[in-house]
Amino acid sequence: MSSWGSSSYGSGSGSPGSGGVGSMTEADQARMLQELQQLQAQAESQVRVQEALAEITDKCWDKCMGKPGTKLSSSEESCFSNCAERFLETSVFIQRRLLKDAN
Amino acid sequence: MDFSSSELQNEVNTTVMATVFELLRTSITGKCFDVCVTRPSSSLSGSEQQCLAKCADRYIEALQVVAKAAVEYDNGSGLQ
Repeated sequence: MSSWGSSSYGSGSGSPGSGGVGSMTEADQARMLQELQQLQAQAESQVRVQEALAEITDKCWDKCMGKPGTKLSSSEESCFSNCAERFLETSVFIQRRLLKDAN
Repeated sequence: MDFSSSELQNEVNTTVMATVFELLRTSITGKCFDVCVTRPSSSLSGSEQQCLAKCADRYIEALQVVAKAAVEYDNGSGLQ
């Protein structure tokens, strides 16, 4: 994740008291737009990661969990851990298989 | 008015957290309803509520185990 400096977008040389994007210099507007686009892409990526993790947790729950107790047992924990790895490995396997079938 | 990068970043972080919260709520509700409310009646019983509470907690715990395994897999420790 990129680190954001403390850049700011100052007002352009507009009349005093006029604020907002409209009084920013063109260069600042372009820079801000680019930053917003990067932030949006970052945000979407973060959400997608969380969706994927929730999907894996859902799938693995059916294979690993009995009745929910007050804590995950160590066997449940290792089941989730293995299951997550096997799920990701399966995803890679299928991808390779599909590429192979396509050729 | 000045716009600072850190303000924008904070806005984005807040939005991401809200989206992820909704996502988890949906996932956990679906899973734990299946697990705990096997015969729906006219209200949630005490034992059903207890089961739901435990289920939600275990889900979050499991999600953390999965996240850790996924990061380690990505970093190459699980790859052949």
